[in-house]
Amino acid sequence: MNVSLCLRTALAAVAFSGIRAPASAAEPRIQRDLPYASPANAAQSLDVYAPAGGDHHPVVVWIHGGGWAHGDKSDLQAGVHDPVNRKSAAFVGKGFVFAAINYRLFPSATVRQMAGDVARAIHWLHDHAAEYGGDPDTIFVLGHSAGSHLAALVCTDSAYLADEGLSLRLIKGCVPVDGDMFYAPLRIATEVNVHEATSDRLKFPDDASQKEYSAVMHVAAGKGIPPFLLLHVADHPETGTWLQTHIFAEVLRESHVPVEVVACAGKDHHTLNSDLGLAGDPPTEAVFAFLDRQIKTLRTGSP
Amino acid sequence: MKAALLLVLGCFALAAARAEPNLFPDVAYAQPRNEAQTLDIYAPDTGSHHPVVFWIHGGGWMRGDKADLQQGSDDKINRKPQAFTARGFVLVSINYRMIPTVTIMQMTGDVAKAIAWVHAHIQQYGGDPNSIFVMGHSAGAQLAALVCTDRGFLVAEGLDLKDVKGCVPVDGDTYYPELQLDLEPTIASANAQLLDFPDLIAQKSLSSVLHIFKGKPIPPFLILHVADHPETHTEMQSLILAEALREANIPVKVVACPGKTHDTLNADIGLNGDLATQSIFAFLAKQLKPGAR
Repeated sequence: MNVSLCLRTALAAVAFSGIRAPASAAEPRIQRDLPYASPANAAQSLDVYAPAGGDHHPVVVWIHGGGWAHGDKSDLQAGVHDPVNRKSAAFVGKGFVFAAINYRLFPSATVRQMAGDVARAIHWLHDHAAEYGGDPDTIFVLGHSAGSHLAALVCTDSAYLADEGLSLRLIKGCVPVDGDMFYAPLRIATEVNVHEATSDRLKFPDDASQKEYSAVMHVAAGKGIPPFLLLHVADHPETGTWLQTHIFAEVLRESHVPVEVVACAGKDHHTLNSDLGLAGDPPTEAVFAFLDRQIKTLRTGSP
Repeated sequence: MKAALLLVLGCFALAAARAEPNLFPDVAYAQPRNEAQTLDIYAPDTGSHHPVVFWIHGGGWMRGDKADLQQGSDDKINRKPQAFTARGFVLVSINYRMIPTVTIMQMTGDVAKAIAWVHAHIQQYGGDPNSIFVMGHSAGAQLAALVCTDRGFLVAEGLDLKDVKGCVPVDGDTYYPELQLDLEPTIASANAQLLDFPDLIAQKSLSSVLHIFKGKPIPPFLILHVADHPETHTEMQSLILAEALREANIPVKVVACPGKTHDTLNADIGLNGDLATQSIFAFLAKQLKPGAR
C-alpha cells in the first residue's frame, strides 16, 4: 500500500465520520493555503472546499479578479452585506469540489507567469483532487474579471497546460465572468479612462504581448478547447465586457466550440461576481445548468 | 372615395415615372482631369436645396465603379439614382483611385476631395451644400466611416467633420481592420488583406474606431450589416464601431438586415419595402428635421 492510497483511506475515514454526524453533514471540508508550487509561498497556493463525503465530485477551479494586481483566493463574498462565503458553500452544496486559487500578481509577475500559475494549480488539482473526493478528470475553470481573462487564456492557448504535461481536453468547461480583455488590442486601443489605460498598458505592454494574451487569438477548431459559458453585465456597455464577450463568443462559434452567452440584467461588474452562489440568482442558475449539462454529456457520451 | 384614392395613387405613379433623374456624368473633381477622380451626379429635374447623398462604391479597394448602382439586382433598373432622386435627394456617386495605384490613405484623400468638390459646386445642380450625407458599401463603407471620423482628410480640403450631416456605412468589415486581419482564416486571405493594410501603423490609422473621441464633431451614424452571415465579420465590426461611437456620445443606430448577402444588401438599396432602404430614408429624414444638429 503506497502513501497516497493510505492518505486517501484516511481521508475517506474522515469523510465517513463527517457523514455520521448530521449537524456537520453539510459542512464542507476546508483545506487552506495548500501550496501548488515549490518552494511553498502564499502567492502560489490554493484553498480547497470539499463536500463532506463521497468521491468523484467534479472540480471547480475559481480564479479571483482584481486587475491582475489585486485580490485573493478568499475573496468569495466581496461586496455583499452578509458574511456568508457564498461561492464555496454554493458549489459544495451542489456536489462540487471548489478550489479557489492565488496566483502571483503584477508587478511581481507578467500575465504569462500568471496564466502559468493557473495551469500549475490545475496540474496540482489534477494530481490531488481525488484526496478531496474530487474527480481529477472533470475540471471546470471559472473566473471573474482579470480571473476570467486568465481562465479563457489557459483554456484556449494550449501552451500553458502543455508546460504542465496536460492537454486542453482535461478541462471540461470554462466560465469567464464579465471579462473585458479577451481581445486585448481593441480593449487597450479604445480605453478612454486614462488611469485604466495606463494601468492596462503596464500588464499588456506591447502589440506582441497584447495578442499573445488574447484568448481570441488562440481559438481554432480541433484543438480540444472546452465548451464555454460567458457571463457579462447587461446594463453597462461602457465597461466593454459585452463587446469583448461578443467578439470572443463569435470566434468560438466560428471554430465550432460550444458557447453560450448570458447577459445578466440588474448587475454591475462587482455584484455579478459577489452574487454568484446566491439561491435564485439567474447567473448562478445559468452556471449550474451549464456545469450540469457538461457533466451529463460526459457521463452519457452525448450532449 | 376609393376612386379618388386610385386617382391620387395614379397621379403619384405618373409623377414618379416622369421624374427621370438628370444625369451629369464624369464630372472631374481633381486636376489634371482623370477618369479615376470623377463623379456622376443624379439630380431631381426641378427644385433646389435638395439634400445630397454622396455614394462610395465597394470592391475591395481594387475594383468597382461609380456606375455600379444596380449590381446583383434581378432587374436592370438603376435603383439607387431613382430611389434617391424620387425622394428629393441629389445622388453623387464617385470614383476614386484604387490599389495598386494608391494606398487606402490616398483613397480616403480622394473621397474628401470629392466631398469638397460637392460642397463647392452642388448648388449648381440643385443640391444643398450644407446637407451632405456620406454613404458607402463594403470597402466604400470603410472609406465613408474613416473620412467621417478622422478629421484630417476633410481638414486638408478646407472642410471639417461638421460639414457632413450623417454617415451610413453599409456592411463594412474593416472599421477596426486589426481584428479582421487577426481573424483571417487562411494565410492567403490574410496576405490579400495585408496589401490593403500593410502594417500595424496603417491598420491603426485606417481604423475609424480609433479616431472616435468625445467632443469631436463626428456626424450621426446609421450602420447596416447583414444579419445572417456572421462569418463575414461585418456584424462584429459594426458592433465595435457602434460601441465606440456610443461611448463618445455620437448618435448611432445599427440595423441588422435579415435575408441579405453582402451583395444583395447593397444591390437592393432603393427597393420599395426593403428594410435597409427604409432605415436609410428614416435616418435621413431624422437628420433633416429642423432642429436636428
